[in-house]
Amino acid sequence: MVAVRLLDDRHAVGWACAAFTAGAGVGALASFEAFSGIGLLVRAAAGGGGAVTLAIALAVAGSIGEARRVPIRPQIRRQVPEPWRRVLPLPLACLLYGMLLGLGFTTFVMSWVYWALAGVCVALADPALGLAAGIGFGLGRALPILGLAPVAERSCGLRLLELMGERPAVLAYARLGGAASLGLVAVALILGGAPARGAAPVARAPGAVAVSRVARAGRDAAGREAQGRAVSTPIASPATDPSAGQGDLAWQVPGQSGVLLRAGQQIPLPGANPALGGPYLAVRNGDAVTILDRATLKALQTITAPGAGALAVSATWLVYRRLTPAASELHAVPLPAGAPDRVVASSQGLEQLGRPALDGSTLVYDRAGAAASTLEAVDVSGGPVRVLHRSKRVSFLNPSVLGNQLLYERLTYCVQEVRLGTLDQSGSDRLVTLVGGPGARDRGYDPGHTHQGSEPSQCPARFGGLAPAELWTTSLSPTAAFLTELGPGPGGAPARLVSVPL
Amino acid sequence: MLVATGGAAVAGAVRPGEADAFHFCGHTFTTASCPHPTGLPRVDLLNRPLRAVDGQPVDDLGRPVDSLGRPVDDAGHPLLDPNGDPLPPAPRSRLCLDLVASRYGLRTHIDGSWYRCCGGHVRRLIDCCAHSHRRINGDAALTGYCYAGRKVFCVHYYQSTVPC
Repeated sequence: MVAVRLLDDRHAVGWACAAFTAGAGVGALASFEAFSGIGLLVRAAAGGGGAVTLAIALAVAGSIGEARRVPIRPQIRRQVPEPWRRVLPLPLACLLYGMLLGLGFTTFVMSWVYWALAGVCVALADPALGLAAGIGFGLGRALPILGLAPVAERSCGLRLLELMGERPAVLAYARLGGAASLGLVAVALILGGAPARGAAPVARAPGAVAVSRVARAGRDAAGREAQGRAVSTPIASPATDPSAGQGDLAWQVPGQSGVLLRAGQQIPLPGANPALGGPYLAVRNGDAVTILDRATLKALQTITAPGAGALAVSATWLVYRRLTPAASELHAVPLPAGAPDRVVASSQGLEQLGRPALDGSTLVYDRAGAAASTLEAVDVSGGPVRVLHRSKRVSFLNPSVLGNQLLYERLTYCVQEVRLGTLDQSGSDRLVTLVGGPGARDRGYDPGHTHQGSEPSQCPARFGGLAPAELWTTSLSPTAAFLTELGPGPGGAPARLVSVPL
Repeated sequence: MLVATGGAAVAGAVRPGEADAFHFCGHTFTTASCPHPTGLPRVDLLNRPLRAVDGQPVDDLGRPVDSLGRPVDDAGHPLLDPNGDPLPPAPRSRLCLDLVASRYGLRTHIDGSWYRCCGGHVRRLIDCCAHSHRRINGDAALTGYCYAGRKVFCVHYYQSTVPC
């Protein structure tokens, strides 16, 4: 069945290409023979003196214009009638499209070659030259279609279309080829003093028929946008990666070590990436993670953790993330340490695992990839991975967990929300705070044009004026959410830590 | 005379190509834009979003991305978090075929398109078609360049570098 359909498709493309080529040939021959005919009429009326000189001048002028990429002015701002392909059988429509494009003067032409050759044909008034020029021009019109149509929906075809549509060099080289061809015509005329039979250059025909068809569909997910806005309180800057526990708050100073905020005092920590949990405070020094007593800050033990970065700790587990350009992994080590670590989550390639968050043996993290964004939870003592949120359109990032409570970020291009939900997903999640979308946006309409019609691309008015910062890592306490805000763009404000009351 | 007569007859059959427009160049009707991560509904050949001002690929969050889909700054360098780790990627959906389809619960198609001269370059205006009598504006949909009973739900465009 599929094979038959493929065969049918191939036959349809074949017939369409054949019809287009025939039409382009007929149109081009008609056009250039008509130019030669006009030349004969002119010659009959006014004689043929200086015809070759005029033809040489036209060829040279066209060649220079092509080489210098002089814009075609005046341009014929017309295109083939698109409805034909809907109301006519495809081969017939392609035949007619080919005829219109072959005629040349009925549609957009990207090259001086056509007009130079037309002038040469009129000047020399030679039907044989008209025939040669017509064949050359018709082939020039048909070749891109013949080459591209069979592969138009394959990756190589798309790549070729992209090259034609987005790489000015392709047209520039094509025009240089046209310039060289016209130069050869001029040389042949100078040397022979007569029509350069059969030497008509092949004119390119970019900007041709609007004949493409893509049929795909996707499904899933739904967009929704929250209301409300909470006030955040700055805590520290520069600061990132908050970790809250039992009245304490720790964070990382970018490029330096961690800091513990206890009873209003900031205490430098003996390592980076601090994480609070249970009776512990974990910090990292290179490939070693030191477990401190949270109350006394006395080192209890050191665990080797090659490549460790972000940490999470609880009364019974240490989890660290190892991030490399090729993969990311979350490793779990039981506390007090006595067993080797094991990988509890991993990703390959572009997909990236986020900073881990731990409460007891419940680990939550985000998995961000080009195909989808996911929040996952797993019991590191053993158990399956649970998908808490997943979307192909919305990004879910930077979760934190406290008991059954789950704090996470939900990002769209309009808004970044911090939401509080539950691990067992009972009840509806509630909005904690929000800021504007992470990317810069334009007005949705071109300068000098009306805004009518841009509305669907605009973000809702209630998101207007929201701070442009990008939300980053979070932590959750019984009374507050702690967030990292990244300054907008390179060189912007440094990352800062804020708290939002729950 | 032959050419003039024939040309006029043939030219009468084709459509004029002036770039009169509504909210963006080349769009001459009132159907609104397909929702786009950065605003103006510019896409690449695979229907994925591009930033209108410079053609930079963007992800679904509107962030510029490199060829691998990693978020980058305007100089093309990967965006990093304060610890120097790369920021995570986000999905990059096809505008009509995925994003509009999922947001509005439609099975969308790209049927036809038309071409105009915008900013000195050829622009391909593309109808995002669906079996829906309502367009994104909320009122009655037009047939436009859609086939097989489908109608125009929203519009977007592909900007080439071909001069015009």
